[in-house]
Amino acid sequence: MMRNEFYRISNSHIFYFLILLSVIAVMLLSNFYVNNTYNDDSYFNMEINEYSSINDLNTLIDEVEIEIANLDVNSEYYENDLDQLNKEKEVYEYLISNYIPFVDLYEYSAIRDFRNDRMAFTLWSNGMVSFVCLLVSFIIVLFLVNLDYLYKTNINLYNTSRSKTDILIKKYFSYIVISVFFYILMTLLTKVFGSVLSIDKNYILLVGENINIISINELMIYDTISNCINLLFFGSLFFFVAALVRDFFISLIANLGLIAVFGFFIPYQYPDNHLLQLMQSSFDSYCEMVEGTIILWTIIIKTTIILLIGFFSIYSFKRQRVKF
Amino acid sequence: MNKSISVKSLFKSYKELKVLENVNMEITKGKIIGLVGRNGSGKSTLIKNIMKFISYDKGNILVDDIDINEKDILDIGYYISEASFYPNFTGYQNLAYFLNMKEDSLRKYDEIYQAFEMNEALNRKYRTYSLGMKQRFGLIFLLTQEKGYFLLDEPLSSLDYQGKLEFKKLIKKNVENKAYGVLIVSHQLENLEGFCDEIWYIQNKKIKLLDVIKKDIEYKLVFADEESCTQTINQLPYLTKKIDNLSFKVKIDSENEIENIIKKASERSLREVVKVVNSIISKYENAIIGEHDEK
Repeated sequence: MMRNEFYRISNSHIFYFLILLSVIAVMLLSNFYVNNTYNDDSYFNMEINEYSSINDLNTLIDEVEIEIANLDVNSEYYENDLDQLNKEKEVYEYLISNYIPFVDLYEYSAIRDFRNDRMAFTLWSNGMVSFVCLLVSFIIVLFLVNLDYLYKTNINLYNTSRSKTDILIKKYFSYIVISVFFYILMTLLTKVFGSVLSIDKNYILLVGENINIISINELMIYDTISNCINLLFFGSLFFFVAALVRDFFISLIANLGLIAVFGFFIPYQYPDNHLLQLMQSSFDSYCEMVEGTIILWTIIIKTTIILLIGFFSIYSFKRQRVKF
Repeated sequence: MNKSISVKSLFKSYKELKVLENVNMEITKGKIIGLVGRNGSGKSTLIKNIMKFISYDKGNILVDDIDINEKDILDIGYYISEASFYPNFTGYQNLAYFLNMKEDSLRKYDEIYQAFEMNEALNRKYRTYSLGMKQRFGLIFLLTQEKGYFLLDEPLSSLDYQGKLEFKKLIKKNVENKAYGVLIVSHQLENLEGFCDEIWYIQNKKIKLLDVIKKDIEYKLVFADEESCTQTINQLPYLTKKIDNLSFKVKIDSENEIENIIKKASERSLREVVKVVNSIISKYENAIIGEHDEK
């Protein structure tokens, strides 16, 4: 059945049109990035001082301790300054036990879009590819689930000897494979554009609840996988909503509504709210120093949403009558 | 277990408009049941109720003794003109997709394609089919499914004469070989005549049996004189009915028997032999007119 779904989608003009449109969009956006890059030497938000050895780091720790001792306890900024300096001290201590040369280290929060290096481009392009693939997912869901109700092919399809649930689940897995295919295709395409930019440094410093250093290659892999999983979360949401409403036009409106709420309304209306974590991938949240418990809760909430709507959608699909 | 679709005391209305009232009927395996009625009389509604496409207000529908609301009914195939196929797929691709089969495996249904003269057309895209071809394709799709019952809503409406004959032949053959139960709905009674085992009609929201088609064959024999007529009646070991002094009707089980009858009658003054056709259409007309009169 999955084979038939692939065959059906590969026989459709929509599929090639989507590939073409996505390739053009990704190429144009990538090209725009590459042509608008700028150099920025300020890698460290926390203004970590330059060092060339472990001895330098020990000296820097001493300096921070002196600064802490000299803080004005009556100042209204005392708590903030103390936190900042303690964190800086922790970073130096971490760097002593996991020594990475200063010239080889980025700090994640200092990375800006359009910075002239491959890592900044990769992080930016992963987000951009996710958004493009999300729109593609939305159209593929309409094609796989709702188009039958427009063409009236559902009447024949859901009354053969196979159960409706079985057909729907096969469609879901076909959709997952197609979405991942699109994501990989677009990601590889951005790699071509990214190759014209150089990688300046090899490691990245993540400073949040904990301090961590990972290699740039690891970061790129984690970010790609994490974005792909996030894409599948939203894609699955589209799919199960589409199966729930079935009608082509209602599904179109419902899923556009989801994109509007999650993509625009929440980010712009509640930019500092934890709700925003629902939008982005867990790895992005981790890199942006969001607390571990909040990330964990976000994962639990997202998984629960998908499981609940998935089961309800499949149950309801099985029970519902063929729609005319 | 009762191998049939039983409709019991079924009521269906669309908001205020009552469509079916206390409908009772049975579609038994091995039988072809015809259902006629005017446009909008509720024929298609009945099929859609059995298929669970729409809900009914009151009553029960049982398939092999199981209520259709208790489990999915996968044993019923149906044909309705609204149902469609993918326009960009060829006939074979559509069959492969909907039947979940490989195209090579579809060759086993060659006999069916041939009967509908669709062998060549199945290689063409569905969107290039004419209305009649689409209908034939829909029927091919139906007959390739292994089902116990078939509900057919106006399956012959766009078929040419040859197509109708082939379809009826195929259905008859399948009913005899595999003991399908078939309900065929039409607003054209002549499509059902001589094809169904029973014909029902819907009139004033109610369903009634129009006729149980008997397999007997009837001939009318006309003689030149009364004596020959009477003697032949007495001699024949068949059921006869005198029409007038010079003629009578005889019922036989097979066409072969008429030759012996003619042989015997020819020894007397046999003038004419006419096959009697009991028109179902006249019965239907009488039934409907009768109901109008009652009203």
